Amino acid sequence: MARKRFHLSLYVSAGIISFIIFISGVFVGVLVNEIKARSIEEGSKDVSGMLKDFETQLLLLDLFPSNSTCQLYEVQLRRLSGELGILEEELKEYENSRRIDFPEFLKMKEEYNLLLIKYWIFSENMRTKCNSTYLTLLYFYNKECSICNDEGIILTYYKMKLREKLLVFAIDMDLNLTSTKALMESFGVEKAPTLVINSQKFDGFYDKEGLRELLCSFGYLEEIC
Amino acid sequence: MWWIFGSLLELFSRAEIGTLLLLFFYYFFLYCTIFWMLVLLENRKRIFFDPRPRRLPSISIIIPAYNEEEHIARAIDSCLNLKYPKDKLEIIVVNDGSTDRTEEICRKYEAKKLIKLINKPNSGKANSLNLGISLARGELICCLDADSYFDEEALLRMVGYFNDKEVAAVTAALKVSSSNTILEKIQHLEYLFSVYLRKMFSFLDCIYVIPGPGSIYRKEVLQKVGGFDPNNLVEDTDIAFRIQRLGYKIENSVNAVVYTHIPRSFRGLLKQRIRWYTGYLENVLGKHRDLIFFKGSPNLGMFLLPSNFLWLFSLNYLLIFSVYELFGYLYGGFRNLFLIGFDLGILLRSIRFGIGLNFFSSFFLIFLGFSSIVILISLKVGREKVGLKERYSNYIAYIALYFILISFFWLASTVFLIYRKVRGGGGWKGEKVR
Repeated sequence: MARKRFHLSLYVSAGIISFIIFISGVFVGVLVNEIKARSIEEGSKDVSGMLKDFETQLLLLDLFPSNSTCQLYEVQLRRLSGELGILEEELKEYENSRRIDFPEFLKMKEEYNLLLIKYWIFSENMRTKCNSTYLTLLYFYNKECSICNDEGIILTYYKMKLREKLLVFAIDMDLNLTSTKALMESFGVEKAPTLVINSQKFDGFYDKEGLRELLCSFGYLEEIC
Repeated sequence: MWWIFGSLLELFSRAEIGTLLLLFFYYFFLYCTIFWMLVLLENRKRIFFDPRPRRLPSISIIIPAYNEEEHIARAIDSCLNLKYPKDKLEIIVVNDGSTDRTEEICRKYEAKKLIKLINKPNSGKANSLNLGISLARGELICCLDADSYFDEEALLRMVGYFNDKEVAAVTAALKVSSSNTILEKIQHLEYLFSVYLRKMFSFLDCIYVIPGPGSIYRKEVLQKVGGFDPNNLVEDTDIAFRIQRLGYKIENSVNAVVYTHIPRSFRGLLKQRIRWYTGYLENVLGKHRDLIFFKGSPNLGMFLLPSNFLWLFSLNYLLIFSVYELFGYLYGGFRNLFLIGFDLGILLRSIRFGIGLNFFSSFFLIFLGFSSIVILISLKVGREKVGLKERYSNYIAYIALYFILISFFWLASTVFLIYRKVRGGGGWKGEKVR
């Protein structure tokens, strides 16, 4: 009986063709990733431009304090908050969708956190100088803290509910940023989760009801109190 | 060239093990589809070609029947309508101790001297076939499950392959008799896909299933291998392995159409698939273990059988992985709702619509693209002019469902195999086997 043939050339050509297609898949994947990273980078450039503009405006406010300028700035602050929100969403989506660590991501996150701290400084400044009726909330979290995920959900909930009346700044403690460390030190933050509302520190986890009471104790949040 | 490998390695070194496995399965899927497409391309002129028979050998059609009152008449009628010289055709119905009207229906045909009817106490399909073979006078033996029926040209299309002395068996193109529900349409598509794949297998001499509906054997080879094994869950796979081991060829004709009834209910389908897949695994891991890496049939031993294990592993892994992810999402979603006290108004405001493009969606697109090509090829090879006419989007949905179903069946079979190993078990006697 004739020996059956092993079709080696077929196996090899299939290997080569599938490898080329596979590589193109990887290439497209990396490209998509790159495009996303670029969009985030551009977003943070926009925000940092806005922040620079703000810096000057705050100095002007120091020189000529008045009610009408305060109102103008508050409108701008809201716009800034919107831009940063979009950036945050993009970053979050990027983080969730990726299964491979791309080194750019860490850099982008650091950049974002720096912007966030700057933004917090301005809103704090504005709040005291203009007697504004919004709360600033610094929220410190890290990777080890398992309950932080829950706290984040609850904070997002209140952020959506209260909109411009509650400004949330989520700070990643794992990032080795000097400004983050300085911020933590000045409020005596040691563990996660920690909330700093209008420069007052609150340790530990707050559930939906607990956070509501805490926020209400600052007044002027008639939507939830 | 080498820098591609270098940067790939660098990229993958940053990935988790689960991601790497997933990427590997994508590559494996890609490899297999492309491989079979190349086989198709190489043999594109031979696909629809059946050798003209030098002479018409005598054929005995054996129909084993156990409680088949619904289908048996159609099976016998299709045999009587075959385009084949009547004096060279013998029809033997083996009634395997049916408790319904099967015998009564067959008696009518017997009275007209159209068929030979053999009644015996119930002892399983393999025994019925063996009994039929021992009484058959034909040179060739054709087995036909009682719930199947021939297209009238089927035999003429198949017998030409027996011109070659090395051919021991010829298989037909199996199609679904009718399909209305989604479960049936998925099977319809699967059978078409099998028509394509079985032809490709035949080009590489690696067919390892000779289906019960409408396959023809050379009687002398059947006697040489000792007939069908009654203690095997899948006698059609077992016999194919034994024929392969002896070095004979198993051919296929895509023009010889045999229609078969498929399980209508999920339960029926589950039972059928567990028998098939557990049986296959039992054969490959036990009795026919030496066929893995068997050099006498190199495409079967060196590629197909090992790659089947990889399929089994990837399907099981993908299923467990996806279920795990799905439950993770559901649990996470529920927990988040619980945390905000089920305030759904807020939630609705936060839902955004959009297509999330990420690193993996490009692979998914490739996956989808190749699945589509495979469907198109299957439709072409299966010559699907009538039958399953669907919108293209439905085909995609069926493929997705098919992958989920088939993964589930393989997983269930793996579990059942382990259960049988622990408990010990024989054939499925007394059961309706299709």
